[in-house]
Amino acid sequence: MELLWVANAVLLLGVAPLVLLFAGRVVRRLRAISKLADETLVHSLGLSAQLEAVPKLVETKRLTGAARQLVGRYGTGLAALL
Amino acid sequence: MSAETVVLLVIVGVIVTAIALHLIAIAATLRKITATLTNVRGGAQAIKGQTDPVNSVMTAIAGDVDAIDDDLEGLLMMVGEAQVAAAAEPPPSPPPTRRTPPARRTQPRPATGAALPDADVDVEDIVDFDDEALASRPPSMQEAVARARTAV
Repeated sequence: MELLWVANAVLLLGVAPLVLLFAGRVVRRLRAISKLADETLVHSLGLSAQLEAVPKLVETKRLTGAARQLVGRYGTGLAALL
Repeated sequence: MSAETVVLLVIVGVIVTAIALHLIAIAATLRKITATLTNVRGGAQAIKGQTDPVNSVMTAIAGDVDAIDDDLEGLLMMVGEAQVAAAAEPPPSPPPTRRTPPARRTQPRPATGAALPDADVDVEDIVDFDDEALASRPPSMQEAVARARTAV
């Protein structure tokens, strides 16, 4: 009988606080990870918004190619004038 | 059932309940993290798709800008040489002063020859601005500079 009371006391004062402590730690770490994942999502959305101008690089490439040819023609015209 | 047994069962039940509640919270948090990371993965794939052509496009743009820079430097040299050549030429002689002719003693005869042809000259008759060969393949700046030097 006395052993059962001792076991009860150990369970109540030793095991239960330890279980609560470790489980609370796990939950706290998981919530921190969840918060970090949310922030990562927000920043990745911002990064994606920053890249909206990237397709304009293709137009820039076309324009620089045209400018390269036009500079050649301009030089030819200038050489004819000089 | 003795009192000790009942207390023991109650304590075990409380511990099991606490563990179950924590496991439920952990599962919910993990589910939320999974959903968020799935969205992050989609965003990362979209970013990769958007930035895939950046390397090749930027390389091409850099090549074009380099070529334009070289061509413009050639133009600058050509214009500088033309300026030096123009400065080395002697200044043009002043136009001769027109002296008033002496008074005629006789009246000039009326002109009997044909009138001069019309002096209107169309520049497009002299220069072919629609030269297809010139438009289709613009010469490089080295060719233009060489032509200018041979012309000088």
